[in-house]
Amino acid sequence: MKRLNKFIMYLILTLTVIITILPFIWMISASFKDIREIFSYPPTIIPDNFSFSNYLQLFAEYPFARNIFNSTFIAVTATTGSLFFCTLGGFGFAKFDFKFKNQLFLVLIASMLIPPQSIMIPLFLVFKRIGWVNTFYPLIVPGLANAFGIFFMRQYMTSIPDSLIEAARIDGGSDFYIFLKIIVPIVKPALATLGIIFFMNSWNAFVWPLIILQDIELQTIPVVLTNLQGVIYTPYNLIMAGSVISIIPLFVVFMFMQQYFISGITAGAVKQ
Amino acid sequence: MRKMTFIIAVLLVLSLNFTVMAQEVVTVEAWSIAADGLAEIIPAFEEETGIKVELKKTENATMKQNLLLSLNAGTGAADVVLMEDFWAPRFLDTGGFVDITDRVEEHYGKFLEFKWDPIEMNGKYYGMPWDIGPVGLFYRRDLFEEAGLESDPEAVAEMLSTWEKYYEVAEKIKSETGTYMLAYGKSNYDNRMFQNMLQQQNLGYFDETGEVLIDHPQVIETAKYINQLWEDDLALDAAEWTTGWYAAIETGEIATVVSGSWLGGFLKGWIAPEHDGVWGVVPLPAWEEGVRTANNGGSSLYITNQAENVDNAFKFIEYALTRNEPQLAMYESQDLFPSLTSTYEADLFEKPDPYFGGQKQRQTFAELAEDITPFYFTTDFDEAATYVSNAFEEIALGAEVEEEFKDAAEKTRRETGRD
Amino acid sequence: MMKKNKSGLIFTSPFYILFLTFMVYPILFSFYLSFNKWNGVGEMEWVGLANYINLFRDDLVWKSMFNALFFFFTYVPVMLFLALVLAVFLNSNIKGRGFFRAAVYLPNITSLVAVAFTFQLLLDKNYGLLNMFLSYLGISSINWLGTPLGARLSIDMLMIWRWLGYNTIILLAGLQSIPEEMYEAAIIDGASKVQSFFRITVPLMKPVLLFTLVLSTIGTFRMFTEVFILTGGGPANSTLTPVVHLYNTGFNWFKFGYASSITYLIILITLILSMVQMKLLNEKEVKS
Repeated sequence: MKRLNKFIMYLILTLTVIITILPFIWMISASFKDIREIFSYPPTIIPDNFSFSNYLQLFAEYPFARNIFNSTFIAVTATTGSLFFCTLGGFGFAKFDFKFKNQLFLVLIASMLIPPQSIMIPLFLVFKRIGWVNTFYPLIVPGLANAFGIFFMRQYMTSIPDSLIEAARIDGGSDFYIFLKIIVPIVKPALATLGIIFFMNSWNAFVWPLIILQDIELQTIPVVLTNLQGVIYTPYNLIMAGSVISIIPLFVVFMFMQQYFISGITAGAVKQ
Repeated sequence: MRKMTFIIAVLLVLSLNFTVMAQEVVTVEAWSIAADGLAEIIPAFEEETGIKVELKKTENATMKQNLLLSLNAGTGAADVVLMEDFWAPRFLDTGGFVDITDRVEEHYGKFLEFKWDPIEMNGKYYGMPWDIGPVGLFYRRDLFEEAGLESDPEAVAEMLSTWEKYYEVAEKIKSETGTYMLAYGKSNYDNRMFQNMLQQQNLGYFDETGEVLIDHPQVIETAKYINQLWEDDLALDAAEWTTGWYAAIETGEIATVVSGSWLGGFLKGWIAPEHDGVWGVVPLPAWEEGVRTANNGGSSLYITNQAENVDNAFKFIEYALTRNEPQLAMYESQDLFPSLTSTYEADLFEKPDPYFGGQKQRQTFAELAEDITPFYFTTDFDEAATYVSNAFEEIALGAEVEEEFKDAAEKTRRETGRD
Repeated sequence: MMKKNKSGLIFTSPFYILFLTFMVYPILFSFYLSFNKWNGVGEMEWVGLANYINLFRDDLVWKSMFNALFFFFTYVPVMLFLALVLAVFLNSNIKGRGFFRAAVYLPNITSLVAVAFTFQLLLDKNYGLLNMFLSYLGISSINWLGTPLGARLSIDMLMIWRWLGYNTIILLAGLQSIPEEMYEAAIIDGASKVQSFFRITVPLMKPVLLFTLVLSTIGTFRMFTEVFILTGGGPANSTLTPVVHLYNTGFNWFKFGYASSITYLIILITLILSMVQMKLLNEKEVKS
């Protein structure tokens, strides 16, 4: 009985993993096929005519190298900038007292309830008015000090003993000095978790880059992939090659820093 | 204070300018085949004029979306852009283009007249015509023969001279060979064929003055014709440019395709390259009144008001579009059918096409091109087309034609402020 | 103890500056805009309540709301059930737990755009892998993306695939926080495995389950990319979601005034949903 249970368990888990992995295999396989083989029946998992030409064509005909750079630049800038301001904000809420603090904190929490996509129209008009359309600013600046990050860091920092901060203060350190020299080193694990969340969100972001970046030279990978889609003809072979490239960085990071991804998810759950 | 310095530092890093630098080049944005065509003629232009051209290749659907946004935002558009005729009025309406009326005047008579309609707004001209897609009926000779019908173009043109006869042949082919006469998608389809059928009858979604025609009795009759094809199972449910449609063409599930002249290029290129000698082309069947062709697709080049140097930009479109040589070169390699009428005299049009069983298909289309009548898009074509597509999707699910089209018409009027 | 000076205010102020500029101001601006007709370039035209009246006449608005509800009621229960099963499995004494956990989580870190395109291929009526498998089972090819029900189920499949691992991990964390002694005590009392699942696991997991439910609800009403790429909202608007409708109205048809009234409707509905669920969460916490 016990053995049978175990067997069923493994069977279901293995099936789930196969279903989970299959789209990736399909994506990779299609990225090495030509378009006619992608649309042939029966579908093949191992390409009949294995070829790198999709990748070469992608870089030859489109500014794809530039698009990779754009995605990387935006994700790195947004992540480092947001980590700085969110940690600072978290520190402010965790270790200081100030007027209307509780009310302000409530505003911060409440702001998370408004879905950012829902204000795409007026926000686009704001960006348009300040000349930010077709620049990277809208993809970096508004999220620099974001509510989730500040909340996350605050939760983490409340467990830091006040005595540590007091000791530094007696030594004559300013609040900002304390932040840099005492707080930041302590919260490093939280920074890794939060950094991964930020990087992942920025790297995979689609809605805002789609709205803001119209010049193909400025576009990020997800946007440029949809740009390949034509009314008459969609080169799925190229899209799949671009898709494979787009998933590689996070897969690599995930392999080495899996625990930070996991703690990023569960941190959200614990807060409730 | 420290916080301020930090913010300033961060902003400084960010303010590295990432917009494309303005240079002494003309930037041109176009999609797939048009971009490939332009890429071929750019070297000769650069040599002749010394003006550098930077070509950006995108895809049609997203270029449309991006261009509309960048015109609206006043930044991000190329100097010269390719626009399909059906988007043009709405895009011109953004005020994002340069009035080049004085410059195009001398070229006016060189092009098919209907082609100027989308380029003009309030008496001013904003672009130069390029390609068109004269619509014909592509048919499979082998399937016609299998059904015991004649298969050479002259005979087929006569056999399919009206849509009524077309229906009879459709029934015959279905009963003799079990093949569908055509494909008409029940979903995910923009109903180009329906639009072509309306254009033949001097109809459309709007008339010349912008009045909504969607509930015009003849429009509804035409929609009923399509619905009848569905109900009698003569039309396969596969929308153009979907995998089901490619498969249907390649494996011979359908006997005819209504399409623009450029379909030939796609058939040869990758839909059915092995079908040598299988296909023929004839004029469209006629309605009681009207011509035996329409126009499907086609674009023109426009200069945006974001262009740094309008003179250079105009030199480029003048070179690419008003001379026979580049026009014929792009027609031959990419099937971009010129609207520059002087090109029709060229030898190329006399050449038998082996893929079409030796038929002089280019000449067939050149003759049809002269018959094309205007189709009035207006600024709200996209929206009207969406409601008509929705209507067809509902009809395919069992709704009543008349009711759906009256709804679509009413909705178009309401949503576009025409009520 | 906590220090009372300006530093706290200064440290937290970047958030409020950004919040006011990029959230409060746009929301207020769109309130004004929602009483106007405007395409973004010409003059604004005051139309009073016309946009809000139009909202009630626009069947696409209501269809998109219905679709969001459809997705919610179809994909969320299936996904949470599967996630709970997987979490229970992974919480038991099995080998390769780390591997399984990592594998099911992978979809969540991939670009949705890349995945949606891949699903287009997998679900293709003629050349798709899914229909090929179904044909082995004797099921004739299904037009997944071309029929209303098929397209809706396709979106469901994509959502379940992408979020199953994520929710499994949350639920697993919840399971791991239940002390082992409780189960041991139950066994001593003579409870079977199934009984202890329903007597111990389910009640103690309620807060975590509710949390995943909240996340999924908000996710459903914000859904954009999945639909935008996989189905474009069709066929016959059967997969149109509120945010896709908003996008089309704003950025395809440039009806910024009318789109602003849709904006308010979406914000309103999201807020109501969030409040209802928070209330539910709080009640549960009080009880347990």
